[in-house]
Amino acid sequence: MIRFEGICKSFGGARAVNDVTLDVARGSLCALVGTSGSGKSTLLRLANRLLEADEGSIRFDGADVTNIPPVELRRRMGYVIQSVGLFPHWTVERNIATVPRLLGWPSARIDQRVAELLDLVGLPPGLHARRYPDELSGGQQQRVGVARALAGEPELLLMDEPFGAVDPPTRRGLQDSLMAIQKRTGTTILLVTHDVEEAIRLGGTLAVLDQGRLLQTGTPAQVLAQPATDAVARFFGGPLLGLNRLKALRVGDRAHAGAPSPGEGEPIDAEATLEAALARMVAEGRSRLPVRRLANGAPGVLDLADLVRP
Amino acid sequence: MRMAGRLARRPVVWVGAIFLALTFGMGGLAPHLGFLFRAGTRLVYTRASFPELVASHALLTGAASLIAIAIGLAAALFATRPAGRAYAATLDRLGALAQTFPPVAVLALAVPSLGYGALPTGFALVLYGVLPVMGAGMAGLRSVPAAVLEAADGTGFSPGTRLWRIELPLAAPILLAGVRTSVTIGIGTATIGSTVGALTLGSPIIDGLSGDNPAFVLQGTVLVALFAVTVDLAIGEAQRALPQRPN
Amino acid sequence: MRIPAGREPAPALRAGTDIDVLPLLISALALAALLLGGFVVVAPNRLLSGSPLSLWQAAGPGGAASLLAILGVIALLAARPALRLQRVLISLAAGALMLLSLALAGMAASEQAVAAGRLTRVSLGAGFWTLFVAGLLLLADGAEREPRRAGKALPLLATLLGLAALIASGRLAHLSLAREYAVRQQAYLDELLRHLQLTGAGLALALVAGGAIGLLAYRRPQRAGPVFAVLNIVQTIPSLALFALLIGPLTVLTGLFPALRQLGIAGIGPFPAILALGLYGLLPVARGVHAGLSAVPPAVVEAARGMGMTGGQIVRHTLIPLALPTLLQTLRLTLVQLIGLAVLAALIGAGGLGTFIFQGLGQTAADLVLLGALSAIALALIADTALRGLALFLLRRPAP
Repeated sequence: MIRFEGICKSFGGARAVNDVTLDVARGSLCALVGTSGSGKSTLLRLANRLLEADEGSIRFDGADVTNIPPVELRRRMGYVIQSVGLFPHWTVERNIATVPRLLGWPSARIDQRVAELLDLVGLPPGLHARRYPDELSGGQQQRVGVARALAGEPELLLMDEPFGAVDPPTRRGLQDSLMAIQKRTGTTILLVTHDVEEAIRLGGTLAVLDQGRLLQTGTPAQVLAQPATDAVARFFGGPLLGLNRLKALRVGDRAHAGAPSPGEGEPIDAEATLEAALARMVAEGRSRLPVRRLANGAPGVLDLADLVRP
Repeated sequence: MRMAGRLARRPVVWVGAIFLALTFGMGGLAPHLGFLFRAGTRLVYTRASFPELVASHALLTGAASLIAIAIGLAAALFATRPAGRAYAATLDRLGALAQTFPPVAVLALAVPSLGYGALPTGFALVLYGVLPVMGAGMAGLRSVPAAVLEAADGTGFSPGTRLWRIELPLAAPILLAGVRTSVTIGIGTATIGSTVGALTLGSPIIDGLSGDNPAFVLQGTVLVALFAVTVDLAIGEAQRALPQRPN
Repeated sequence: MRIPAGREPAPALRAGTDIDVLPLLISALALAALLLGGFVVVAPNRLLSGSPLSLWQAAGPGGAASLLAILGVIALLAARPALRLQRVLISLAAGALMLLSLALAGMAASEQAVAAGRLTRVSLGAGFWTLFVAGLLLLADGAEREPRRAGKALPLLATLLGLAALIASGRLAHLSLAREYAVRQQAYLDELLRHLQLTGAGLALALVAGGAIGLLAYRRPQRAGPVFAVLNIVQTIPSLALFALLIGPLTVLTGLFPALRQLGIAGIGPFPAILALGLYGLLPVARGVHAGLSAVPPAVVEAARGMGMTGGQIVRHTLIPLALPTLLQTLRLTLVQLIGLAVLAALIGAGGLGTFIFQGLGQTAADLVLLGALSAIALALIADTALRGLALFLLRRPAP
C-alpha cells in the first residue's frame, strides 16, 4: 500500500529520519514505535506530504507521492492526531463530513456515511450527531476524530499517537474499537506510538525506530523474542522485556493437549495473553491452568514451564 | 561603570534626555528655526515657557492619574472581594459603556458645569484614567490561580495578609500594564484639555492651529510626543524590574 | 463562546440576594438628582447663562407624577426577579423614562417660548440628564444581561422608534438644542456626513494596513515583537499631537511636489486627518488580527491540512470562523475609537462634528457644543450597538 525507500529527512542539520526503507502491506496495521525524537512522527508526516523528504521516495499504491498533488493525496489518506483537532465551531456531524464535502459528495450520501461512521466508532448518531466537540469527553472526541479520518473512505489511515491523551481504560476501549474497525473495513493503518503496551496490543507489524534509523521490523512476538539491538531491547522493557513478551503471546501458542484434572480451577481462553495466564497462576497459587479449547477444538492445559519455554 | 553603560543603552534614558534637553532648550532653539517656515512666522511661543507647560501638563496628568489609580484599584479590590463580587459584572459593563464616549465630547460636555480650564480636563482625565486601572486590576486579581489562594488560606493567611503578600504581588504585572495605559491616555487627554483652556503642552498646538502658526504646532507636538513616549518607557522599565513570573 | 483560561466565570449577579441591585440604585440616584437639580434651564438668550427650573415647575404636577411613576415601576420590577420578562420590562420602562423626560422638556420649552418670547433659550438641565443617562444605563444593562436575542433588541428598537416619532412630531423644536440645529440644518448634515467619511476612510486604512501587519506577525512570529513595539509608540503619542504632527511633513512634501496637491494631499484638511485616524487604528487592528489568529488551536490547523484542505479552505473554514469573535470585537472597538478621534479632525480643518464643538467652545455657546458632542456620542453608541448586534447575529450557535 505504501512503501518508503531510502528516506532521509533533516531539520536544520539534524537527521530526523535516516535512510528508512519500509513496506506496509495492504490491509495491514503497522505501528511505528520508538522513543520521542526517534523520527517516527516525521516519517508519518512524510507519508501525506505535510513534510517533504530530502532523499528517497515514497510510493503510495504504486505511484510516487511527489506526483500526486498534496491536497488530493491527503484526501485519499485519513489523518488522526493526538490532540484530535476537531473543528470546535462545527457539530460532530459536520466534522465527520469534512472530507466528503471537500470531495463534493451528494448530501444524501454524506448523511448516510456520517450515520454509518458514528455507528462504526460506537457513538449512537441520535445522541451525538448534533453535539459540538466541547460537549464530548476526550475519548468520545477521539472516536469522532477516527470517524472523521475514515469518512472519505481512505485507502490508508495515518494515526499520530492517537490515543496518547486519554486515560488507560478509555485507551484500551479505543484500541479494541480500532482493531474491530480494521477487521470490518480492511483499511491499511500506519500508526505512531511510544506506548509499548499499545504497540504489542494492536498486533500487526512493529517498525522500531531509534535516532532516525529503522532498527527492526516484525510481529510483536518476533521482535520481543529476538530484539535486533540493545536499543530495541531497552525500548521494550530492558530487564523486564520477558514480561512484555508474555503480552505478545497467547495461551494457545504454548498450551499442550492434556486432560485437566479436577480442582485446577476455571479454564482459561486460548485467546488470552500469557501475561493474563501468569497473573492467574500467581493469584491462585497454581502452576497449571486448564485451557478451554485449543485450535483443534480439544481441551488442553498450560503449565508454568510452558511460559518459560524458549 | 558597566552598569552605567548598560543604563545608557536603555531607550528611556536617551529619549528622556532628548525630551529634557528640548524642554529647556526650546526657548533658545526656536528663534533659529525660521528657515523651516514661511517668512514672518512668529517663532517663539510667549503664552508660557516650555518648562512651565511641561510642569503644568505633568502636574495635571500626575494628580489625575494618582486619583484615577486609587479609585480604579479600590473598585477592582471591591469587585474581587466576596462582598463585592456580585457587582463585578456591573462594573465591567459600566466601564465598557463609558469607553464608548469620545473623550473630546466628554471634555466639552464638562465645560458648562465645570467652566473652562484645568477642572473639566481633570474630570475627564480621572474618568478615562479609572477604566484601564479598574479593568486591569480585576483581570490581574482574577488571574491568581485558585489553587494558590486555596494554599494561602490553608496555610493560615488572613484575608488582608493574603491580599498583600500573595494576590497583589501576583497581580502586579497586569495591574502595572493597566496603569501604563491609564497614564498614556491621561497624557493624551490632558493635551486635548487645552481646547477647553487647560494650560498643557497642547496649548501651543491649539494656539498654532487656530493662529495658523506651524512653528508653535511643531514645538508642541514634538515635546508632547517625547513626553508621552518617555513616561511610557519609564513605566515599561518598572514593569521589567518586577520579578518575572512564568505564565 | 469559551471562557478564557485563567479567568473564572463572572459570578451570578444576584448570588445570595433576591433583588436586582443595579436598577434600584440607578433609579434612586435619578430620583435624588431630580429633586436636587434643575430639570431644564431657562436663559434670556443664546449666550447668557440661565436659571434652573425644577421638574415640578417645568412639567407641572401631571408630568412630574408620571415620571416618578415610571421610576417607581422600575424599582418594583427590580424587586421581582421571578418575573419571566423582568429584564425586558425594566428595559422598556427605561426607554419610556428617556422618551417621557425628553417630551416633558420639549413641552416646557414650547411653553416658555410662548410666555417669554423668541429669544428665550430652554436647555436641558442636570436633572434631565441624570434621568436620561439613567435610562441609557438601564437599557445597556438589560441588553447585556437578557439572554434572548429578541429581548435584547426589542427595547432598544422601541426606544429608537419612539425617539424618531418624538422628533418628527415637532414637540422638541423649541429646545435650544433643536434650535441650534435648525439654524444650521444643512451645515449639520454636511459635517455629519464628513465625520462619517473621515471615520470610514480612516477605518478602511487601518483595516487594510493593520490587517496586513497582524497577518504578517501571525505568519512570522519572530517579527511580531519589534512590529508591535513600533506600533505601541505610535499609540503612545497623544492623538492631538498625531494629527498636528502630520501637518509639517505634508506641507514640506506638497511644497516639494506641488503635483501632489492635485491628488488632494495637503498639510491640513481631510488628508492628514484620515492618515492620523488610520495610524491610530493600526495597533488595535493589527493586535486584534494577530490575537484572533493566534487563538486558533494549532491542532485544528494541522488537522485541516492533514485532511487535504487547500490554503484557501483552511483560511475560510477554520481560521476566519474561529478568529471571528476577536475580529468583530476589534472592528467594534476600533470603529468606536475612530468616531471619537475624528472629532479632532475639525482642528486641522478637516471638518466633521468637531466643528460644532470647537465653534461652540470659542463662542461659549454651550448648546452648540452640546449639539456636536451629543452627536459624536450618539454616533459612537449607535456604532457600538450595531456591531454588538452584528456579532450576536454572526456568532450564534444553535443550542445543542
